[in-house]
Amino acid sequence: MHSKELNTFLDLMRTLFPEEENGVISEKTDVKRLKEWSSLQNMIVVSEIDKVYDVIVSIEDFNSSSNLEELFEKIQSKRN
Amino acid sequence: MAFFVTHNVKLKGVASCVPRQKAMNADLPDFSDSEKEKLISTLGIEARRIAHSDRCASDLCLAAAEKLISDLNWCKEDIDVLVFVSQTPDYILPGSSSRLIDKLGLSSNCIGYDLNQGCAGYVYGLSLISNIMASSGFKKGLLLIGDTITKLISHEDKSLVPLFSDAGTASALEFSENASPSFFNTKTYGKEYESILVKEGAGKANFASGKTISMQMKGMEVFQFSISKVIPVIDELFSLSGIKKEDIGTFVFHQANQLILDTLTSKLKLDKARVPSTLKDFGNTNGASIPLTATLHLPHTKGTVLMCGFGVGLTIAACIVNCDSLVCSELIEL
Repeated sequence: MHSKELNTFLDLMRTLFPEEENGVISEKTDVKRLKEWSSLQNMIVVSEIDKVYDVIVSIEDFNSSSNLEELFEKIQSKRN
Repeated sequence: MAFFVTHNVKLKGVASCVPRQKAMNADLPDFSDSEKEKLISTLGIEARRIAHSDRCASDLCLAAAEKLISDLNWCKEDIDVLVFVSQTPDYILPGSSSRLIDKLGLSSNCIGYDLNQGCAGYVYGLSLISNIMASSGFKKGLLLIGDTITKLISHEDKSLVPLFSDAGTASALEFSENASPSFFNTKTYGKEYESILVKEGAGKANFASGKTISMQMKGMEVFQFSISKVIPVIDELFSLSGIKKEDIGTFVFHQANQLILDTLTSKLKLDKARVPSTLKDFGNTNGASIPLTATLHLPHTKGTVLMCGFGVGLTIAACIVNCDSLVCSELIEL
């Protein structure tokens, strides 16, 4: 079951990938494989996560996360 | 810690020169319309300036210096020191400062320094020339900083082409016992030197390697560096100088891209009106971006300005300087 926090995070990600079709972005999505993914999009995602969660996600965090749920867990661990 | 204070040196004026030739990001080939729209809105860059193939950073700086010397009514004989900051000098050797002293018609008694620095280079240059003038008794100095960085970028590099632009600038400094002190704080992260790198053409991979010279940038590393490491340097500068954020009229940051500028503005909780941007019309002009922004946005400024550059090295340099009565020359196009 999704936590409320994870759902909020997924909603944020959906706003950052507006060209993806509804339902494409879920907790199992690897954003690095999305067609909209680029170095520019990576900057936008890092910036928004920093703005909302006050956490700067590293390149290692992205590379070692195979999906958004894992990325969110890393964000949460950095907040604690 | 590299915090220090310089006394008795006043920033008197600033002038900038950009190439006449414009390149528009809306016209970029190999980008879809939606990619270009996102790129322009995120980077904040619509137009860039591209130097002619036979024009160097020193040419742009020379034009800016001539204009500034004229606007200040300075006598060239009185200029004791010239510092040239660039990563695109005329030659590997000699340094460009001696040639600039000659081209400007300055005295052979004028001492020249060449400094290889990039995005943080303006503050590095200010600190160097201020320290030299404060300790030597030199009365007048010129700080020239500029780059024709577009010549180091492959036309096929989709991540760098939309960002970078060329410019040259000149700043005038004068010894004055009434000058307010200037405060500097710098940090060096040399381990990250590969984050922005031009490998070819010097000692490690010279021309004999046969490789084309091109700049490489690890964009995400530089972005994360910028949004995580710059604010602590500024906070430390406030803490050690005793100057408060509220005492600063204008914050002139290196014009990396608008996303970074907005992030720094937000983290410092600043009104956007206090953080000028020249990105829309001039892009990222490397080390020249701070004085170019000062030229266009600091006329009629009174009081204290915080300047902060960050990037190549990787390095960060921030300073607080008084800009009362700063002469800002009209922008030159060459």
